[in-house]
Amino acid sequence: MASDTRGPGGQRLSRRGFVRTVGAGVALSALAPTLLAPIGRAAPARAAATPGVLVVGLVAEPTSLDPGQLTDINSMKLLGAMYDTLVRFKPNSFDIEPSLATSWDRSADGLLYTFKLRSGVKFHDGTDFNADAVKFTYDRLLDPTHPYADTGPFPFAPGYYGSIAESIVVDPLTVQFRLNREDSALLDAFTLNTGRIVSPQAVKTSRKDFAQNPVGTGPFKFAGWDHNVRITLNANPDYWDGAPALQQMIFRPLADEQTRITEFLSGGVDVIFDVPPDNIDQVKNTAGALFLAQPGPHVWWVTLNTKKPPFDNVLVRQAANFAINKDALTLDILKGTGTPSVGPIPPAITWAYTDQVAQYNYDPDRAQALLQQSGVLLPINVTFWVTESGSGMQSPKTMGTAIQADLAVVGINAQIQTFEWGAFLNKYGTGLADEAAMAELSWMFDSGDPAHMLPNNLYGPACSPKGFNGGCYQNPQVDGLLESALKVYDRDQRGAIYKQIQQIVAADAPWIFVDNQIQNAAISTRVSGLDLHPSFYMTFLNRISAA
Amino acid sequence: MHRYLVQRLLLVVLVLLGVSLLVFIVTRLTPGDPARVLLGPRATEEQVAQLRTAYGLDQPLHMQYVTWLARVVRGDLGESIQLHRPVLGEVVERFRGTLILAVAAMIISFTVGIVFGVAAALRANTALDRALMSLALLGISMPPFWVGLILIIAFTLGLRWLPATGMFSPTGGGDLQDLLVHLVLPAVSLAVVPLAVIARLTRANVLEVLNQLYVRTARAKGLHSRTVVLRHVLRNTLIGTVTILGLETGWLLAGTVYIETVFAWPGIGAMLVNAILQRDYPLVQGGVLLVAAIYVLINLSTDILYLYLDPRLRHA
Amino acid sequence: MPELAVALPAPSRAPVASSWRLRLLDRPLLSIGVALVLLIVLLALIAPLLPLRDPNVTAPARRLSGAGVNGYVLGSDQLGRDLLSRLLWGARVSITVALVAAGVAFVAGGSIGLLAGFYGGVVDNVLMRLIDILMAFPYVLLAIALVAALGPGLLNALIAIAVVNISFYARGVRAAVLVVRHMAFIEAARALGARDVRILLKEVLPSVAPPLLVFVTLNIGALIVETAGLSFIGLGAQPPTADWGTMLADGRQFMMTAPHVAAIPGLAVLALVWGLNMVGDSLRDMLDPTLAHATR
Repeated sequence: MASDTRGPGGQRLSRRGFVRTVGAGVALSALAPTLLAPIGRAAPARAAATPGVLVVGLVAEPTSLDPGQLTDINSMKLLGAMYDTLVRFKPNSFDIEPSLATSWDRSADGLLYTFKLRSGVKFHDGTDFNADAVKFTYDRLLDPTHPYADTGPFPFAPGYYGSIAESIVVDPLTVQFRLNREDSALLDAFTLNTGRIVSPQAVKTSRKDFAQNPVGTGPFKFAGWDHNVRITLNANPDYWDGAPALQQMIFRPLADEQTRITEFLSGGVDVIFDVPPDNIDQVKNTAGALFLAQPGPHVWWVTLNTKKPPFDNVLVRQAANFAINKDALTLDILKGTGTPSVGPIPPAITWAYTDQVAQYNYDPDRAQALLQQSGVLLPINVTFWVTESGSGMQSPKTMGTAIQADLAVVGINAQIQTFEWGAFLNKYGTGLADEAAMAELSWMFDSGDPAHMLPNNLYGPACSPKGFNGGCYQNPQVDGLLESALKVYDRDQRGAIYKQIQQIVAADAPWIFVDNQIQNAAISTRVSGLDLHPSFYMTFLNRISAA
Repeated sequence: MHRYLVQRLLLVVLVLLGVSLLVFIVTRLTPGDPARVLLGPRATEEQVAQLRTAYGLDQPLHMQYVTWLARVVRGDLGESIQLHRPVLGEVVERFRGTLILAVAAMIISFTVGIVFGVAAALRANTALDRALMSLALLGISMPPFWVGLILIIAFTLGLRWLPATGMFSPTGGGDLQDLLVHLVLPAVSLAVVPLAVIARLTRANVLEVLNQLYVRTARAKGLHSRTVVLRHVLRNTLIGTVTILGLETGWLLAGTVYIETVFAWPGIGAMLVNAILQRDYPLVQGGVLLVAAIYVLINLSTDILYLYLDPRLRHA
Repeated sequence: MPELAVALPAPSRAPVASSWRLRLLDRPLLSIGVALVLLIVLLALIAPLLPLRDPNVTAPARRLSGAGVNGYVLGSDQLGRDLLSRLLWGARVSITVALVAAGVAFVAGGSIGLLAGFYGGVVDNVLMRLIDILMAFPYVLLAIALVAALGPGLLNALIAIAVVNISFYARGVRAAVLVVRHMAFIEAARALGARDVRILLKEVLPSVAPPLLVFVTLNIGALIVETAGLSFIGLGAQPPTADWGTMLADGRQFMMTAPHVAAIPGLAVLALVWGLNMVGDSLRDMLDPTLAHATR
């Protein structure tokens, strides 16, 4: 083996080659992303899919299939396939119709509800659906002494069904609920995922493993769970509402947003929800893909600290609202996946919504005038809590930054502090108090009823840390209206109360009202019968088919 | 030798204890708790308190640690708060995914890296050497997650040759071929940096050996150069390789986080990041303990292997 | 990856400075590396003086513009902010964070390594066990956990990165000290009655410094990547602050529609780290030619 000399001569000889290689390497890596990008934008071929099988892309691995345990909307997407509720929403509406209960009525004092149940319905394990099953379901959720209460915990149960004192079996097809207080929102609450009816036999057999081996009455039976890979459901031909057109549903967790899009575009999944705003055009331009959009009952806002300057002054709060360019935000940043909002109740809940409220159109001059009027010395620094992520938070950092920029124009300098969701919830739950002047938050009204949200966020006594009224908004009139709304049963009358609340709140401006999310989905054209429901749930799955 | 082994094993236990304490402290210091995360904004103070009690989070901290430790000793790592399943099963399952990825990356990086390194050393100071070493230098400068993104754009969206997500196809598949096809992009992304490192180190090792006196003596005796290379060089390269095996394992086990996120690969890195963000204490504690245990045991093994391979160190 | 812990050049007392200038010219690798690093650092330093757009001003209507479009030299990001401007201003942040984190890790880790290596025995044992614990913890996860625990902000990300890198510095310094500890000049100093601290500072440290310099140069690149990684997962700088990691993370969502938003900071990171690695490599070669390029 020759001994290579390492004198300047040897180096010079290879310098050219060396420089060339290095140069090529740099050039290639510099150009690679931009060179390859145009290829990426062309519509990729869609892989052949199996007829009768629908593959759904989820944003994360489901945490459990026990309806009582769940708190995340993602896992809840599977529940409608395997379980039913006593009552459900009609397609594309928040009107209630029978499901497992065929009729119901309420005592005059509103403290006793009686449900007549559907006959001939069986759980997937062959046992009968009856009043005992209903009692078992709700007792397990609410009674800590229930023998199967240890298959929990059930985080949402007290919040939604806390008014139930006792459930009573009258006969196999009649069940009653005795309440400890009036709760006109209870009927809406019975449509929620938390209250889906479970098979007592299955819970008794599986105990804690019931979360991995769900048994309900729904159009699909649980067939298998390959952790972090897929959940398979097979059709239930004996479904009481009509056998499903599909033979099988497969749910695939794809946590990364971009990979979810990639999988959809390449045909790996047939349905994905919440298409990122900047990929919407791509979906629309892909052959074989459809883009669905549906206003959802969702509100995104910025809580203002009403207990500390400067937002203790209503003029400043109103000014903040006038300063934000909501159209630019929803059009340019959210790419139309949201519409500007005017109050705490979303337009999707038609019976409780009104737009006859104080409007805050984009008007920086008006904002500055109001600020001058308020006497606040500008520029002023405020702390703004922003979250990295979170269910329903859309694009929290981008939106927060845009809001910061808009406020800066009128002299309010928001210093953003970003937290990841867990830490954010903790801070918000403790209250803005002395630490922050602003914090963003959102809410999804999957029960279609303002009664489950407003009391947590705008009710005086719910001032953090007691509840989630982070800005400690206090208005006795609103408090009174909220309390009375729970005792009124006629929907129009309840709606009138909530409309009144909206008018007061819009004028008081305890929040910067930002937008209402439009839920969306991308589906393959081979899928038919899939409609987005305003409740964000996947519903009427027996009516979906896939060619 | 035996005394040494016993000593080292005791140290392993000590280190693991330290790790468990460290992760416990750090996660409990983090603001927020699983009750908060589960309930989200739909929580009154009493609901949060109720849930905390259900999870035993109202107990004093040292009690929580001791309770957890007592269960661990009996082999019970508890139940994941978010996933409602036993931690042990979940952690082992997810670790399998990372292991497959890490082993694949290790195989790629070792084979290609050693070949590059040996080739560069044998042709030291030629164009080939410079080219390989420049590439290697570039390699260690590239963030793995960036490499992954570039590869996806090229091979999934562009050429449409390879899938970009998951370990298997959703319908059907599940066999070895399916796995290998899904393994290519993530394993290559992960292998780039270790490959470059190994190439450089191998080159250095080989060169060092080639210049030692005894090699020249052997050649002077008239032995064929190839025999010389194979026997002496590779043996000594092995020592150097074993040394970095331990370090690389640690890097791989931890570094898979980004690759798992980009490729939606079901591994333990992504699981742990998510668990930390969800404040899933049992899962974080159990998962970190397992990863640390494996890392420490591998280091122990490589140290022992090293001793075996290099007699000079036995009496250090 | 910490190859550095293994292949440090042997520290020596041999004077090195004399032939540096000649060697610089002879080493294309070093020249390119130094040029690259100097260029980037220089641009970062003079960024405030250049005629750049404000890096924080948003223009949502002109978001995700390509290079050269709408008057943006390198394009705009998802809020319409000028990428060139954010790149240069971001360079200041990213480089500062890496330098400070390296400094903190160096001082903390180096002290531990120095003490452990010099005193040996129980001190060495205890300190190295603590370092073992730190190292056994998957480093990415430790960084993430620390940032989650400490709260938001670049400062806390910096602390997390520094803490996580302490173990590498501790081990590296300790290894170097171990080599030097028994060398003649140390024994001589001891014999002359010098106190430990004096020996540490005046004899050990200067000998260990050159390989440490190599170490630090090679490590800063890794620190930059690690900071970017943390932002990539979502735990880094606060809006609207630009730093390369956040830019990479933000741009990732647009890889398919506007890849330049992530590609540009990615390339910047690559260029700087590459340059630093070239410099570090060459320094190592110069200090101990037997290590990497031995030929005779």
